[in-house]
Amino acid sequence: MEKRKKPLLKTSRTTRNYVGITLMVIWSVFTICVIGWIVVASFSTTAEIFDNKLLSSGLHLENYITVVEKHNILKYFANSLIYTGLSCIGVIFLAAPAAYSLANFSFRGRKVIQTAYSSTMGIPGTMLMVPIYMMVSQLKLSGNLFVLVVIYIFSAVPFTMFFLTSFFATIPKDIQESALVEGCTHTKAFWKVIFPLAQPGIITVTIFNFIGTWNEYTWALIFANSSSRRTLALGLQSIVDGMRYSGNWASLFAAVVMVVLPTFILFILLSEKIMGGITSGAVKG
Amino acid sequence: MLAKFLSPIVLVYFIFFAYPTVRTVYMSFFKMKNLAQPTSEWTFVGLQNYLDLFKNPLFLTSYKNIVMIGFLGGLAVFLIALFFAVSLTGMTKGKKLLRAIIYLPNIITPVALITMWRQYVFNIDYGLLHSFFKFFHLDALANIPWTSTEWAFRAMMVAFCFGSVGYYMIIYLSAMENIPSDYYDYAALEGAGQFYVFRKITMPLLRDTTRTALTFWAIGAINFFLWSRLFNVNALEPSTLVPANLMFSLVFGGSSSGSGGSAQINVGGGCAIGVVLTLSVVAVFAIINNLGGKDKYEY
Repeated sequence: MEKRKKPLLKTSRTTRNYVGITLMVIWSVFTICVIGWIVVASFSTTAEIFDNKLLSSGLHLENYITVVEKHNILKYFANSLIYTGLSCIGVIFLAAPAAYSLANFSFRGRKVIQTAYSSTMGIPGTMLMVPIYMMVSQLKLSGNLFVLVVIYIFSAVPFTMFFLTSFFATIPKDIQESALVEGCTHTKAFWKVIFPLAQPGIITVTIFNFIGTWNEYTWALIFANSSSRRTLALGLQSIVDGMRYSGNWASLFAAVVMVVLPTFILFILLSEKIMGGITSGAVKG
Repeated sequence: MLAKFLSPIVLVYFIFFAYPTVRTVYMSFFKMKNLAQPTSEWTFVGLQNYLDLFKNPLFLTSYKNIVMIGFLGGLAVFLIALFFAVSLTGMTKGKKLLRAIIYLPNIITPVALITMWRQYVFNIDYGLLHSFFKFFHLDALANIPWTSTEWAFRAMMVAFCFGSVGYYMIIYLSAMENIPSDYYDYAALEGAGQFYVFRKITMPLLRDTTRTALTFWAIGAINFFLWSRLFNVNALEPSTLVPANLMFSLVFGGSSSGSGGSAQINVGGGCAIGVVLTLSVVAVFAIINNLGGKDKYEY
């Protein structure tokens, strides 16, 4: 076993800040308590929740059955999966070639495109929603499932493009040139050689896009708020609104657990990649 | 090849970003009955929508609310995030775990987060805060009705800021880890104290990071929407109202909100709110970029 190297000097970097550590532990315990309580409550009855006697009559899986059978949550789940899956794939095909061009070629208008797209980070969603809603209804597309997919693709373009531009810049030029020597056209060289090499960057940016789209609410509220097209986030809100009248808190917490589970699992599996990605893409942007 | 690779995203820019922005500005100078009314029937009113807006107490309250979120919430989030990031740099064991748990709220959909806070943490019958204070016999604290009109704004701020800390902490943490340790070794040799080192070495070198992070935070505060919309049973309750939420109701009416509340439809007025918010972003951007001097530190 390798012994940990001891720093020669005690600097502010190597000194333990016990106040900070204690605070962070309390902070984390709070988070875990809240999530843990919600999970436990989702297996209890509403009466037990109010009496502070969680799980005293055993595991109640019926809360989940209620949410599935009465509240259509599997339908919402499938909807979210379709919207999120299609848009995550779509945005890559739109943004990856563009990012590659921006990273590797200098041409007139390159700066313009980059500036234009970085300005979109400052445009509030509220500036976009009215005209886009009007466009969609004028094209008689309201109610079409793909409207939301296209909107999700478009709104993910700026971030995806910036993230991949900095990623493509790290792929050595000679790989690209060797592909060209073998007689590929630029387009072919990109899809056959560069695109597969960019896999790690594409996966990271897709994780971000997945979480962002899965959790999105506002566009879905405008374009998919009928019971058959609702996303999981909207579905949860309608369950919350409904539970206020039915008083079934246990099922409410079961619904929360079901909504959070997919991104939670993703985070547990990929937390290092996710947190590494925040700083490599989001900040340099 | 370049044309083939770039024209789609140029098109997306014009369809999805440029045109709607220009169109919203244009619409803010008109009065119209609703979104379905044809353009030919709109009436041009000049700046009237803006003048009405600044006389509308609901808008002024909502704007005051985002200013509060931006400054007070921002102060809390940045101080805690910085403190946590500094504390994490001195850690070896358990660092990754703490970092992951503090970041966790960022990957949970806001709808679920709001439900957790409202229906559990702030609940007056069985909630976490209630049970906690009750355990220590602090009945006055245990009986605070967090989700009532009087407390809702503070409760919403606490819940929102709690979730935001992790993101800024990670940004600061990785920026701090990029600072070469030679600086710290020298400072330690000279006998500089921890706080002195933080003020004289860490903070100046984090200036660019701070600017970017502040810009993100400010844009988030100006566009604050979802928490305001879902935190209150009545989405238009003034205590937690924000401009984007008011705009949504003015444009789409109360019916599509999912959670009650309605306002008179006024599409032009709603668009004017959008324009005011965009101008606020531009102003904040200009201010932050001129903050704290221009000279660059290289390392």
